Amino acid sequence: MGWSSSDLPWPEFERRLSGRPLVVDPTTIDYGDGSDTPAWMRSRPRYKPRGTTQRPSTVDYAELHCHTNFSFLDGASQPEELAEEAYRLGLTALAVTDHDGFYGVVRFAEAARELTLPTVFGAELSLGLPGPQNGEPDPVGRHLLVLARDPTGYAALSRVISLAQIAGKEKGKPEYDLEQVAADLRDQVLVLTGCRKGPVPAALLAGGEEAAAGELDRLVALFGADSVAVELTQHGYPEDDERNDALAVLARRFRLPTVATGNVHYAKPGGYRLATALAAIRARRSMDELAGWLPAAGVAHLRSGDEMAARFARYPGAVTRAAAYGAALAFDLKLVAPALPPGKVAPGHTEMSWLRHLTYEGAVRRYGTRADRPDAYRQLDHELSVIEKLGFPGYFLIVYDIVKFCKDNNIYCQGRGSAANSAVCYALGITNVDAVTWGLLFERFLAAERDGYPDIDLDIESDRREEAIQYVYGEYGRHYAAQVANVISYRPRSAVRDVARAFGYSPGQQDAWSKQIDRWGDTAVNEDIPDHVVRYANQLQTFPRHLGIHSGGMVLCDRPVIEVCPVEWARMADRTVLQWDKDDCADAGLVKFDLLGLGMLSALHYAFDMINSELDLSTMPLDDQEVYDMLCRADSVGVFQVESRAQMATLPRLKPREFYDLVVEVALIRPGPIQGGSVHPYIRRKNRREKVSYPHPLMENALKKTLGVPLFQEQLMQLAIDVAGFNPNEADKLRRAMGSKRSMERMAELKTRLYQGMAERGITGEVADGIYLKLSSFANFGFPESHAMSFAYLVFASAWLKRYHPAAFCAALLGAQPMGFYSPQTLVDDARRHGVTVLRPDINASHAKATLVPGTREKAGKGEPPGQWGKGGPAVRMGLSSVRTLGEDVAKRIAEHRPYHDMVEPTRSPVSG
Amino acid sequence: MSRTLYVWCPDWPVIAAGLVEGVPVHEPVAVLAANRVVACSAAARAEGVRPGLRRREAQGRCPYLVVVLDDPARDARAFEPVVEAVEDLVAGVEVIRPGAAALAARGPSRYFGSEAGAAERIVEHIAQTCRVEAQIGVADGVFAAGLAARTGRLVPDGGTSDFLADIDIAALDRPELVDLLRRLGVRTLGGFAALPAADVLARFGLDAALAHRLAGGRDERPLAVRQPPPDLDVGQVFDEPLERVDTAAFAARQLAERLHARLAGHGLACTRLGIAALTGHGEELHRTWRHDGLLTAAAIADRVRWQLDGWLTRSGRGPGGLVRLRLYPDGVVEYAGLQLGLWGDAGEDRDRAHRALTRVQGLLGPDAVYTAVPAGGRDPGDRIRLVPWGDERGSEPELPWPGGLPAPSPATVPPVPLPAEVYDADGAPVGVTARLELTGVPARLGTDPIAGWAGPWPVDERWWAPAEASRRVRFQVRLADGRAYLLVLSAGAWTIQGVYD
Repeated sequence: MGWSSSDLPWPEFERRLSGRPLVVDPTTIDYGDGSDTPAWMRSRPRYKPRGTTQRPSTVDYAELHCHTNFSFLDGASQPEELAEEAYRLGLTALAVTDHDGFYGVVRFAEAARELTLPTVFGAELSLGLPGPQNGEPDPVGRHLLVLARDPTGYAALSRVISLAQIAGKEKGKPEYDLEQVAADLRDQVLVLTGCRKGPVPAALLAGGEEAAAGELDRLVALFGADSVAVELTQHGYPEDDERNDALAVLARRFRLPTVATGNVHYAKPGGYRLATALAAIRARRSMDELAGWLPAAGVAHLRSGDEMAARFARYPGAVTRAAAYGAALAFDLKLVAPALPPGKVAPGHTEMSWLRHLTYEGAVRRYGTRADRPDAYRQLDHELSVIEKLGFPGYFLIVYDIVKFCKDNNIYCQGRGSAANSAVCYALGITNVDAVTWGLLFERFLAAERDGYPDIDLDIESDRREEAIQYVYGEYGRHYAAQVANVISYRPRSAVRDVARAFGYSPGQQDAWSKQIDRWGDTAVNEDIPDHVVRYANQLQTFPRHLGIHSGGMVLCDRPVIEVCPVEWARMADRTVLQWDKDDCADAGLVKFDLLGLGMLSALHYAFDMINSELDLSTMPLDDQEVYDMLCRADSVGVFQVESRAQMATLPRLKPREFYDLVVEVALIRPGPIQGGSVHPYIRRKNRREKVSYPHPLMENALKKTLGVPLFQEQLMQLAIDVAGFNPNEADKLRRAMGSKRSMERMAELKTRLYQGMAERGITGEVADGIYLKLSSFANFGFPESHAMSFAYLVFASAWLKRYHPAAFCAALLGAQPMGFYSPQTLVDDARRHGVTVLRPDINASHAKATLVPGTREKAGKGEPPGQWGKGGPAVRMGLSSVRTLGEDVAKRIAEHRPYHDMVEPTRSPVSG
Repeated sequence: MSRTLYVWCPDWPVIAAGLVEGVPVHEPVAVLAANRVVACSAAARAEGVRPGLRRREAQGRCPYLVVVLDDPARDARAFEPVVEAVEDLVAGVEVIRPGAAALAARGPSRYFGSEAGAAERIVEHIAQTCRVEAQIGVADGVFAAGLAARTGRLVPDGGTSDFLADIDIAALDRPELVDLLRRLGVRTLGGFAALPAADVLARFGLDAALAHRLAGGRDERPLAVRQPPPDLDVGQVFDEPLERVDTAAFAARQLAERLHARLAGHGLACTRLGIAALTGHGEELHRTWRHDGLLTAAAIADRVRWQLDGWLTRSGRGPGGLVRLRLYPDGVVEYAGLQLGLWGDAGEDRDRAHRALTRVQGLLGPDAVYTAVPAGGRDPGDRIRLVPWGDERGSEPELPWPGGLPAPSPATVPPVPLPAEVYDADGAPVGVTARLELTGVPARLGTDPIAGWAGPWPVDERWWAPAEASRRVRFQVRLADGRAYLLVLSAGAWTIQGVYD
């Protein structure tokens, strides 16, 4: 599992912790790969409008045909840019009509909401595709432009797109049956005749007016005369007027309205060049090769009502009708937000009462009776009341249900992240960290004023995660559950590669340049790469490239999910995903559950099975000094989270001696500190090379356990409570405001409140500024203590196995491959160094995976030198799947049909298949 | 066992590309065949380029690598002078492959006093006549001598098997066998040679047995000495300088027939004909003729006559007369009878037109006659491509070219656009903004009132190649007197690019 760094480069962060002035380099900001790396899981920052001034237009106009860059590699502007430009031009509404999907609508709706721009939602359906159109210079198929009339229309359209995507049996190849589409959408949508690939203009070009009339007649028959409008576009082509005249004649003949659109592909005229580069990338050829297909000039940009009125003066009413349609079709995307499916409760219970019941039932197991632990029960009562107030019991019941399924089926799982701040989660068995004993701040997990559901992410042993996912599908129904997409965006490397190809550079040059990109952002751009490649690569950055599957996010809702967001095939076999990523889902009100695969849980499971034991974190001997001795020697190959070379380098300096040191270690160790060449102030202080000091005595309470260096997000909240008198809810608000740079207003408000609070406690001037700076830098960087704590348990469990059961540890890691940092060869070498006998694969002795051969003793003794731990213990028998070219399946078949008596037997079926 | 002298020119495909195509061989250069590097220059090697790399890997290591496609014919052609240089000194050379040749060492070493002396002479002579660096190795047998040449060693008589013993097994150049031997623990030629020959034959087969003999220094294959290539040129020296066309024509016919007979004798025919002449003033003239069919005796004679006619009658040439004439075939192919089209493309009229145009070309030079070929583009000027007569015309696929001007096309397209001025009713020049808005309504073209206009039709072409980029807006205008023009506004300047009649 990789740690992804936050927005802030390490040296910068270090500077801020040390209190020096900050300069943020905007080029270093990126949004990560979309996967949920623990704790500082990055989300897209909230949209913040740039200060645009509106240019008034005397004519009302709404753009009804507009592609964002979520018409993958077709549109050349982000949804936000389009919304901004539409606002600037004074449009009365803007529609987003991407190809066969609602990919960009959430981002668009969010931006438009901030700008108070009315939004229309639609899609351009690709009819009659013979196959995916990537790589075609001129995609074939007919386009049908459909706009939803209202939220019901939106749901129907979403459903139609989903069914077509699924029917196509392949990514990028939806299959619509026009009659069926019309039956499903009639009276709920407005159909425009579309661009040159629309059925009517295409027929006009190919077969003249009568052919076009036939197509138009068909559309009217299918969708109804009230639901079809003839679309006129003007792109500065010599044949535009002729075509528009013919279309206007047709419209009069059928008594249909004409409506002007811009068939927009980018916000401003300057987007043309990037659009041509994108077309080349999509067609997988250079712009030279594609020149004969490229549009002639940059005309597909947004235009104001005045401009449109001038261009469409020949067709009176076409522009104002567009505005009228815009007003009639616009609605807020919030209206489609679904709710959670009902949680499972026992008869006679409400969701809340059932949750209460389950919690107290679990609390007896975890804490004993109310009389034993009044503090714990007080916390439980408090948390339950918050949950009730927020109306989230159903959410907890669903998570509990998944965890229960895992427990019942002996699948290791554990809640990660901030859920460990909750005693309810501990009581329900969702997490294994006792929030009460460790004094963790519940408000970091769930604050009373929070608007969204909390995040409970479950780590499930990776080899069996699929079972949990299938359980959710089975339990809630395939129509109500779906996996979240991961929008793969352009990163500097891929952008340089694709842009270089569009400019016609050879694959070798693309390789060479994209390899030089690593340092991009913190050093000057390498002079080897031609300027124009860099310029357009920069423009391309953060553009969506395609959809992938999110590592484990599932959404559940109370209605068919395909009516909220279209679903399409993923590249992976038999997987369907939503067209939205996790941020989109969250913004649109879909509730996401993360079911993540964790290889170490699989390894632990195998290992504990091998030593005939059960992993029980509550009974682990957390004070076993022999384990810490081993870690202090950096003897940590294979140990969860602390095995990489960089991490090994800090272990001897950090010298963990107790469990909390491991918690710090998990939070502290990141690629940044070591690569940056600087030493984390915590390590300096731990080694007494720097005095432990606090800028203000009030900060001691929060920072004491980490030697005055803030490490955890909870500390940030505690600081706000201690130095400025915030209550926990406000503290959480401050953390989130600082972290996500939400709205400046709210931040300013909280900042005033913070300074006020500090002033009341006598903290002013430089000290106050220093505290503010530390807090704000930290908001992004800090690690939730609860998460570090959950992981620290796994660190200890794996370290304990390595110390006392090196053979089982090695065999289990081999069985859970691929995972971790080291190759199987290194793991085997390490086991041998610890005295474990590792036997080679044997066709008659090996299973598919590595196994143990019993030895004369079961576990390593205390006080032995490392080289002796495995001596006399069980030996590892390598599995057949470790034989090169054999593979898992064949190894399994061979293992099944053992024993073999001669060389010929394994070659016979059924072994050889 | 015969002492063999091996001449080796390192990186020959690169050197050949340098000699023939002027590729800068001191810079990173790689020669590629089937997308893999087959040879590279020393500078490329220094950047990490190695034979066997894929093109993109090689360019990945060295983005500014000059890539040349492998052309064995080019290598062979360029090696010819080197072999000739060697043949100047010794007879009986076997060309192993372009870039490497072997010869029996006995003769030259006796003639030049020693093997070392012979080697030195040969290297020096090659360097002087061909400007090519060569290395020489001497050993028993071609295989060992070839390995010796890599390090420029003269292996003493009888020392060959010792010399081979420590060399890596990969030198056998049989990848599969080498891979297998390595896995069996055999890593040097000596180790391989030490295996019993019968066992090697039984276990690895005939080819391996042969390799085994080589590894032991028992290379008994005699040299296959090359035959110098047939000399196909024909030429004649005239005691009386040719000054009149009719005498020249007579000479031409004779020469043409001799050339044709000579080609036919070798079963060859040529697709290009080179004609070279020396005038009385010592001026060298030459010209190559292309022909899309194969040249017959009559066709050769015609071309020679036309060419001589051209040279003798062209003004300013003066009465120098031709004192020597030489014909040399180029683009020689195996002649297996020429197939002409079944109908249509090989008629009598076509032949006559063809002949006439070729004749004109003979008089005025190859770049004087063009054929117009349709091409892709958005404006009338782009849609025609001029191809020299007789050259490959090629054909472009029909692409949509969005924004192209539809028919009718202007009848006249001036070769250089004519400058123009367009004013609105108030006399202000008309312009177009980036958002495609006119700054005024076109009312007059120069002083002529405009009766009607269409546009603006923008084009922003080839912006990615700044030298060829063109950003312009097109208009059609009709004047009050009925004339119509295609106008273009680019960088603030109006031009007339087409006239409609």
